[in-house]
Amino acid sequence: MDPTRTGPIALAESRMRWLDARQRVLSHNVANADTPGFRPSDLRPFGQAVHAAMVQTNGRHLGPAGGADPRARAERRVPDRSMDGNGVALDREAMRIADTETAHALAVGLHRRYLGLFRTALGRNS
Amino acid sequence: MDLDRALRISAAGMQAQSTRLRVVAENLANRDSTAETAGGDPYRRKTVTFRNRMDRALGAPTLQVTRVGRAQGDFPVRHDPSHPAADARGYVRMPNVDSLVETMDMREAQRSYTANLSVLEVTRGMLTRTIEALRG
Repeated sequence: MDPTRTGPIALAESRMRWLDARQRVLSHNVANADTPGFRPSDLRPFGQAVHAAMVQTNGRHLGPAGGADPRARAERRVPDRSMDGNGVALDREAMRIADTETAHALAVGLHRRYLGLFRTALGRNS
Repeated sequence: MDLDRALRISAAGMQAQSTRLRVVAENLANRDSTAETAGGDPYRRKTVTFRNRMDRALGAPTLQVTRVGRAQGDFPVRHDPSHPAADARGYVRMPNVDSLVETMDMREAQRSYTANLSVLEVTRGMLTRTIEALRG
C-alpha cells in the first residue's frame, strides 16, 4: 500500500491543491475590484470536487453523484453590483480568503501529522 | 503552481493601482497648468483604463493598464487679462481637473492597493507554510 496515494495524506494533498486554486481565483477577484462589468468567480465546493475525483474500484460500487468540474465558475447571483456593473465586494472576498487560509493551515497540519506517524513507525522520530 | 500565480495576480493588481495613483498625482500636480501661449489649451486630465490580459508566461489573466487617455470635457475659464494665456477677451482656460474627483479616485486606488497587498500577504503565508511542510 502506498500511503501517499490513499487515505488522509492524499486527501490533505488534494485539499491543498484545491485551496491553492481557490486562492488564485480569489486573488483574481480582488485584483479586479475596480474593473467595470467584472463578475467574481469561485470554485465549486471541495466536497463536490473530491466526489468527482473518486475512483470506482468495483463495477458494483455506487458511482459519484454528478460530475463536478473543479474549475472556477462565475457567480450566478451577485448580491450587490456597483454602478459600473462590477460585482466584487471586498469584504466578502476577505472572508473567503480568511476561510481559505484557515483551511490551508489545517490541511498542511494534517499532512504533517500523518507523515509524522509514518516517521514514528519507521523509527526516525528523534 | 497556483499559489505562485495568485501572488503574481495580486502583484499585477497592485502595479495597475499604483499606475492609477501616479496618474492621479499627475492630474493634481497640474491643477493650475495653463497654456503658455495666448488662447492655448491647458493641461487635460489623464484617465486610466484597466483590462484583463492573458499573461502567457503565467497562464492566467492579469490586470493591466491598457491605456492612459485624456479626459474630454470643457475647460473652466477664469477672467485674468494679465495672464500670458489669456485670450482676446481676457479669459484664461483652466485644466479640467476636479480635485474632488481626483481625491475620490485616489481613495479608491489606495483601497484596492491595500486589498491586493493583504491577499498577497495571505498567499505568501500559505506558500511559506507549504514549504515548511516539506521540511517535515
